[in-house]
Amino acid sequence: MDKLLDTQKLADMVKSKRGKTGLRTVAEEIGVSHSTLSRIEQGNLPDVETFIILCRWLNVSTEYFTNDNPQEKTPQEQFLAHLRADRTLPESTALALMEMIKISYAQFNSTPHGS
Amino acid sequence: MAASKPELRWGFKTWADNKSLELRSRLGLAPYSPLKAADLCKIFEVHLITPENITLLSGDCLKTLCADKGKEHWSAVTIPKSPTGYVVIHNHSHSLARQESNIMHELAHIICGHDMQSIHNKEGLPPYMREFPTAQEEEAKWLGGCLQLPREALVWALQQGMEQAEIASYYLASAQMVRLRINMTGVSKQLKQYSK
Repeated sequence: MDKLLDTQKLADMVKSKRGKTGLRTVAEEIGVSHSTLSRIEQGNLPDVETFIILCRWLNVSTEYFTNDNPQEKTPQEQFLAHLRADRTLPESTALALMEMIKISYAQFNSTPHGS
Repeated sequence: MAASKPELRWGFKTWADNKSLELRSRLGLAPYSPLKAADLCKIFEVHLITPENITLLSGDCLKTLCADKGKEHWSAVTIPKSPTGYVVIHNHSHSLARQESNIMHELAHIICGHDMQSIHNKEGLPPYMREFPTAQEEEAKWLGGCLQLPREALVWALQQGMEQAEIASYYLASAQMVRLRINMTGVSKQLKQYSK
């Protein structure tokens, strides 16, 4: 089942736990860059490693921030790609990149790689 | 403590230097010649396009990636193409120097033989969340820089009396890339009188 990430819930919880402690101090404590932490607090989408680190710091499972995607399309397809982009992204950009990868796969390949 | 960048594997820098010269030679270029990313694409069967070339991409998607703030957050995507080769979709809203760097970075991943990331559900996470392969990114960053500005090219350019801005223009690189490569290769120490 496809999942969605509640980036606002993540942002709110991170900000709440950080409280009045400085961004750089908390970033160093967590093990991420201060720019990444700042972007997370602004509601941007983290990469997988950063997300797992944050969940450990917040002492919650990753499932706490994920919901089932009601618009899931089946069957699941697997795509391979190199992606050069910021480590944290606005969700809209991440979704657009994903869409671009899927559609370009269809345009330039006869079948998806694996499924 | 924040995670530090991984070290490049032993011998990689020498391999990258040699690869840059080998590819120039294949294209009939001198070691100090500029190398255009588009020319290198032909050797590796890379079809170079922009998002507008993707026929069924929605207008909203195109706007997000090319017109709105989203264009600041991505540089390039590489996918495999059947039966062989690759497609590199690059962000043409960036400066020409940055576009060259972006495409060289993607070519570097291909030349290094890096596995592509699988874009699918990972451990119950959304498929659009990416994994960030730090070690591979550092290798592609280093090789990409070598491809644009080999050490031999920097030595030649500085010996010709070229200023850093001229070097940037000649090799289709950014001023930042020129500074970085001069510092990282150590040519600045050897040719101290030419640094500006």
